[in-house]
Amino acid sequence: MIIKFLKNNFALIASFLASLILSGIIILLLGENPFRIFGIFISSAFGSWNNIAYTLFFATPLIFTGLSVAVCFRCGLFNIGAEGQLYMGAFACAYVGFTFADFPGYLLIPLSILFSIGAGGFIGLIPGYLKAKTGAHEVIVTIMLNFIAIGFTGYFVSGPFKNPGDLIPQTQLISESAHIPKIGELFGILGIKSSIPLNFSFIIAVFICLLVYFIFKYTTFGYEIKAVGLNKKAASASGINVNRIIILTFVLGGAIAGLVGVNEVMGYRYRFLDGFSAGYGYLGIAVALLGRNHPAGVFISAVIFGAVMRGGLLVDVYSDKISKDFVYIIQGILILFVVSGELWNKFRIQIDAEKQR
Amino acid sequence: MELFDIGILTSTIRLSTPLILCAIGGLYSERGGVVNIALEGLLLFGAFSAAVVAYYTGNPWLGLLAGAVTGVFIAFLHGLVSITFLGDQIVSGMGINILALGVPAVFSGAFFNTPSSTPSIEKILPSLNIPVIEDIPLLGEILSGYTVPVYLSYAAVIITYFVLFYTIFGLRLRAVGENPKAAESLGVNVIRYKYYGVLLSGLLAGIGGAFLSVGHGTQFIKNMSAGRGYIALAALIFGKWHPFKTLLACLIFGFADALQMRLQGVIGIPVQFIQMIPYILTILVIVGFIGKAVPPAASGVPYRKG
Amino acid sequence: MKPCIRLKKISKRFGSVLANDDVNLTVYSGEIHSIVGGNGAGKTTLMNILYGLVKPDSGEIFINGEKTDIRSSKNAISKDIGMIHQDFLFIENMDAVDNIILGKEPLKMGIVDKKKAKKKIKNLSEKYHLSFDVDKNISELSMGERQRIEIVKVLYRNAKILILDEPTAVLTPQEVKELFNILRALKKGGSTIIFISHKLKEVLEISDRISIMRSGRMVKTLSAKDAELKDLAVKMIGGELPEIEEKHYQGDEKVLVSVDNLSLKSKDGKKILKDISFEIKSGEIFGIAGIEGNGQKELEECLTGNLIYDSGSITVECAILWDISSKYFKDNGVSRIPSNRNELGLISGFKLYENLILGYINDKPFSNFCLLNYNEINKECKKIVKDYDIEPPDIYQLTENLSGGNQQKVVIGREFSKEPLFLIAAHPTRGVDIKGSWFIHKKLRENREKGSAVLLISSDLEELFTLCDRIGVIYNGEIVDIVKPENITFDEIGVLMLSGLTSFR
Repeated sequence: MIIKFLKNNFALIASFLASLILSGIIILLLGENPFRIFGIFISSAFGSWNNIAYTLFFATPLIFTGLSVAVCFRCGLFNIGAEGQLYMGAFACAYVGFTFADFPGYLLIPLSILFSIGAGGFIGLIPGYLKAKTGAHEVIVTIMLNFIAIGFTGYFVSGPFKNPGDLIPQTQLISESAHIPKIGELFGILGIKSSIPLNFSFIIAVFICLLVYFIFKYTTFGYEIKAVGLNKKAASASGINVNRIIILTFVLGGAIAGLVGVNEVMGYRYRFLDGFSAGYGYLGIAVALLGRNHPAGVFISAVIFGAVMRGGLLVDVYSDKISKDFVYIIQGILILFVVSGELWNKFRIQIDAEKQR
Repeated sequence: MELFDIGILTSTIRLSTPLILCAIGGLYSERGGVVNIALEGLLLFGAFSAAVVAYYTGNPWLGLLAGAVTGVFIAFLHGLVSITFLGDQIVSGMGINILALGVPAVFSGAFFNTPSSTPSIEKILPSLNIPVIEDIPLLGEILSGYTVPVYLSYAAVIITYFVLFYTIFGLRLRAVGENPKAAESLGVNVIRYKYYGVLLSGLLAGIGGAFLSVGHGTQFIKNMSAGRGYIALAALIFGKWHPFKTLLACLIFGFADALQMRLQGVIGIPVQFIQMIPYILTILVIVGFIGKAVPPAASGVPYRKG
Repeated sequence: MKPCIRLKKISKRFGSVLANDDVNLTVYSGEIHSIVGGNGAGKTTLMNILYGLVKPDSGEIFINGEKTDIRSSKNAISKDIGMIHQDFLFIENMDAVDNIILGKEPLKMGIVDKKKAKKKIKNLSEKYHLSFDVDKNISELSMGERQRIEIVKVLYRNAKILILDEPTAVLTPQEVKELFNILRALKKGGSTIIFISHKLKEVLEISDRISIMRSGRMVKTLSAKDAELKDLAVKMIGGELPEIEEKHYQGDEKVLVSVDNLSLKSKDGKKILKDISFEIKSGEIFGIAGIEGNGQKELEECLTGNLIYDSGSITVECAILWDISSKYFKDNGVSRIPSNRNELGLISGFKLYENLILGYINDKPFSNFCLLNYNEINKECKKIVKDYDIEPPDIYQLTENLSGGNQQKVVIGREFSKEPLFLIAAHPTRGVDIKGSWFIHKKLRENREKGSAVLLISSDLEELFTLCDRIGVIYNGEIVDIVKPENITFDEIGVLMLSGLTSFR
């Protein structure tokens, strides 16, 4: 069982180890002890329940964006637009939160969540529609749409919806009835401090993982997504409306990315802040890639990336030679290794040949 | 303050320079069939290494050289991953862009203890005045008095046009990007030409980056490219992968950038809307509302030999 | 005459298929040598080996008496070998000159000397009467012009040995005539030509000698003077006349499917299908015989709702199929075994069970309100796997890991088990071994007995004769005759397929 797992995921594991070694060498070059640094990474990410909570907090947006990319990948579509989708989702969420401030929580919370989903889905609809109707390549359209969506939200918070009196572009605070609880408040037993920003949206993220798994495995829609992703011609010949599936998949992907807004706005900052995303949308591509587009894989790789982000913060504190931007280096190296499929194939063939001798 | 004066023209020319260098670089890569969204990262790598070398040697020319060399090296990584190891070109480019967020910051932190910027350089690239032209009123002001990379960018456009359409190299590069199988069947070494295209994109984007830190500015600042690599990509598409049309697109986008800086807080049009212009135009052209942009037929497809 | 090419004991295996099996071939210099054979006979593989595109597993190549190792097309070009590929290899949005000179560009002071290139091309095209517009992009040129450019491309490299792979497949009869004049002129100029085709009439017209291949083996080489059409056809197809079953048609007289005046034009206005009309009764197998490329592929696409035809109608059980979409056709009882199963019939990255419900996913009992019912799916899939003897019988394995024959059974099992009203089977036994073919035939008969109307498109006459109640012969997009197998000989129908002339009978 374990051997089979290792064999099936050879490229991933090899990439992981190679990235670890290369990062270690860079740490050494920077004049630090790699073992000490990796030690800080691991202990600060997983050392205690509180640390794990921090890691999961960083993982939450990555679960959403990773799933968003993975859903589209399954359909043979490349969603680089999660970044724009999540900005729109977050803004819509905040908008509802401060506009309908006198709504009670049981109304406002679902409404806010619905708006993040809707706004993200709408931004996802555009590349899907354009792909289906004109064949416009979704990669270029989503890259451009990111800047357009971020431009719009940037305009909103520096213009009409800017919180008066603030120096930085951000909206006013959302109504308290739209706040979702922190995990520390929900599960007191684990002793997680309620100051740790991990919140209910993590549970939503886990739920969406399960939902995506369910869609993939148990619905005709999931079946049709897979068919279109693997072979458009055969799918079409079998009676599947390929264009409809492309559009719906992109909307679903956008909607999931929009949920990042729930974590950011309803669970963490309680307002929309311009430029809040640390490239979550782009990292989602790496998360999906590393997670092999499987919901469980996405969850695990989001946690790994979250741990790297969490560890990076503490490394920044405990080492004067390595700043928190080191996280980007680890992520970049990992992406490049994972995507070099043929490199590992060559390795594998060589190993197999050695064995047969 | 006047909205339209000579100042806005000269700043248009300055602001479009990194776009032109980047877009023309991207043109080589994409004409050879390798999609290059790593331009943004190449700019940052070029800018950082140029600033560092110029700071330590006190020589901005060495900085420029360092930017170019670094660009080529990073582009080689993109080539290695996407050409030799048949990795997805988009993901590989994304990986390099993410790397470019980290490497400069970490290393400038290690070198100078300031992760968000490098120290100011005392000597940046000198401005060159063109004899005769500089004396013509108005025109002299617009055309003369820039740093070398500015002139280089226009030279690059003209040379690229010539190379692409009149030399063996250009013919083969285009053939490889359109139909590698046909090129291979006539004895053209497809892999080699793909590498040439990618490396040239690194060279030019690296110079573009160096311009940002040792020509236009005086130091490297974190994320100083500010999406220019993506705008260059947009210009390349808007210019339909043709050198002169791409130049025109870069100038339009550079003008939008200059205008946006000028308008900051002046009149009613929000700057964000002006910043969006390149992206909206690109979507329109990709959809087919303004002509139709058709990329090289085999771009984005890893080429497996045999 | 001295031999200029000798291939000795060439073998090549692709997976489970032996494409070339100890093939020997000698071509004399200055002759036009044809290689004929059905689909999958191994002609193209053999030529790809000679041109360095495919590496043989074993065997030797001698060129002008010298043992030569051809590792790439570059090697072949340097040995003066040129190949004109079946699907032309062009850079579509470059002009003819650029396409021709690519890889061997004349230079003048570092610049590509297009003037000189044009002059050389003009000389070549005048010498051999190869006319085309040098300045237009390839995408704007006709198929005939493209082919002439391919020939110039080869001549430009001073090739003395020209390989033409199915050159007439895409040409109109007039263009074929022109091509033959060019080939004769080339021969006169001292070139050696290897001509690959399965159109026997053409082969007899143009060749000096003819080699026949079948299932990867070289059957015979003979002089064109000694060859006869009938004899060639029999050797090419396999010789033995099929046994015709005593009792064919068993159903009632109810007409289940009728196709009326179906017509289709290509984008450039060429008629692909001309007024196709036929009826199929319940419990009848109707065959479509013809040389490949005479409209069968398009007919298949039209009849399944995948291609929008220009005029005509298709009626299944009294209902005219008015909405041309694969889903609507399927819902009205049309089912098919596509000719290209890997492209259209199944999704090779799917697990086996997913392919076994492809196209029926929204039907009860497989799904209910968009939710898959795995119990029913498993039950159905296991039944198909058992009934159709799919090996290995694990429904959770990846389909691409199955052998070609078993993949075919997946498609057949899925479609047959639904007992469709109208079943279209296109080349159902292509690439399937004898045992598998026998099994598929058995299942086809079973479907007929259950009352389906079956349309069998095949290029295998043996298959058509064994199974069909009636056979329509298609030639140039037209059904030239509808015959009963018991009233026509194997030879007669062969001639009909090759010439479309009913007067032969």
